Amino acid sequence: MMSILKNIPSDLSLKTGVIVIVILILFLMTGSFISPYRPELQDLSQTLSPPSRGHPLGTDFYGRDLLTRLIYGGRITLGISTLATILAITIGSVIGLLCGFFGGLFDLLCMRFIDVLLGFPRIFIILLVIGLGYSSLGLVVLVMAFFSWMEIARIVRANVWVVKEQLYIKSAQALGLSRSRVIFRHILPNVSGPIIVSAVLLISSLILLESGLSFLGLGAQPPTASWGTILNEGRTDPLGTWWISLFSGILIIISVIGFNLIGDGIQNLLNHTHPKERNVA
Amino acid sequence: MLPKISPILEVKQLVVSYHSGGGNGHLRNDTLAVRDISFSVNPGESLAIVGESGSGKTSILMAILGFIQPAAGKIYFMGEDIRQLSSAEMIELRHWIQPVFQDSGASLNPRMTIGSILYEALRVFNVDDNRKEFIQKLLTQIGLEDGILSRYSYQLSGGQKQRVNLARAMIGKPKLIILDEPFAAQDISNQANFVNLLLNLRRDFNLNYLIVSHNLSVIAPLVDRILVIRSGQYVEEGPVAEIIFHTTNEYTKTLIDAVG
Repeated sequence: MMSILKNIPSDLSLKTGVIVIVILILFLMTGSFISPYRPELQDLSQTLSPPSRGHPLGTDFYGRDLLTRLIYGGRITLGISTLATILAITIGSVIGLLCGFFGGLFDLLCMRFIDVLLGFPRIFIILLVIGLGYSSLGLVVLVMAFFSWMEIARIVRANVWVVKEQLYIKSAQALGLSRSRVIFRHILPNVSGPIIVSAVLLISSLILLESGLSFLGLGAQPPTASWGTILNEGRTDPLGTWWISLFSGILIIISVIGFNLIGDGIQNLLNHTHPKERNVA
Repeated sequence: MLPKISPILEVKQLVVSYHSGGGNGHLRNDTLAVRDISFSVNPGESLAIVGESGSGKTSILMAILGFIQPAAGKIYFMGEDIRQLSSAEMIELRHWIQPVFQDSGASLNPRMTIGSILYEALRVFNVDDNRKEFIQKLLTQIGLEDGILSRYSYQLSGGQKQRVNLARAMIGKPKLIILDEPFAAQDISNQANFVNLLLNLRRDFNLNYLIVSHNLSVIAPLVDRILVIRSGQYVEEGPVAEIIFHTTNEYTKTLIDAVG
């Protein structure tokens, strides 16, 4: 672990963010060993118990162990956010690459379509789509991704405009490489920095979005736990059952801050260090 | 395969212009970079295009390579009008014309090792020989060591980068190599070494060079004829000795005097 961290460039934001997220992921991965309970296991004799030795973070209305539910709920929240991010990054990167490389009418139409999508308030559209349809985790992933790729497409497109004029791209074209090989083998790796930053920052924004949707009852459905649904369970008596909302809220904040720090750290490295200098052994 | 028709390259009345403005009701400005330039490169022959910076030399090369659409004129390669070629034919044409750009470092993908760059060219040009052996032989001919294959372009010297670009251009066994200011970033000793290398390759592989430069004295041993241009316009053209020793044109004399 320490050897890995030593290899991370000495950017404080990046280092802190990586430590926070690695600890969080280890917590979620090894949770089954930490807690002896199952997330749906009810114990009606222990309803709304405050933190104690038997239940370190207390229990909810059904006597379910909160620590266990936060561990399993975290997997759902992070899993959904990560899947939606991968999907959004893939869609945004491909469209950005194609628009930036080919330009012309295709670019014009795509950009106007993006303008239209960005013109809608995202949260209300998502609420409408999920509210009208069958609420499932798969649908949540698809909807979150579909309304999150536009900014990435714009960022990638702007970077492709710059990279495609570089001489190494002209050299690749002069060799007679196919367009797809020029785009995906030569241009994509050279615009990967902004894509990685966007992906990390998008995860944190989608964690918040997923939590918000679950809080409103449109994300993970009971008895499945997610941080948003747990946060919601504590809203009826936030002072009397403070532990329910507090611990889920803290985990949401920690994960968002962790990913934001990683994103800022990578951004700092990209801004302040030339790629050549970074790679010199 | 393209038919072998003489001359190898023929440029007729080439005009290249760049557009600027024209939006929001403003008048569009057309800057003429190349005006009515004609020349040819015959088999076994090499040509230099010389002129001061901004005279349109690189625009001519970019038009030949298909990166700029000429405003007017024709470009024939081995008898084929390159503007009439389909995408597939253009890709095949690129096997026969290979460029070595002025900025050799910027011409190599910073995310790829030199080995990846060269092996990619081998795949593109369908070289069926033992690829490892082929690369080793090529590196020896170019004057590079095997060790550079695992390096990235920023780990090489300027001279090594230029040789890697030349090696990549050579893999497809082209008919014409276009060299854009090949000596611009080299000191005198490296210039001499590179001239010798180009002379040897020309002899061994029956290459034709189209060299763009502002340095008449260095490129003189490499070419048979020189075309002098100024502000995108024809000044004069002739055999090397005639241009360098017997020119009566004041602009050409200035270019010769500028490099001593």
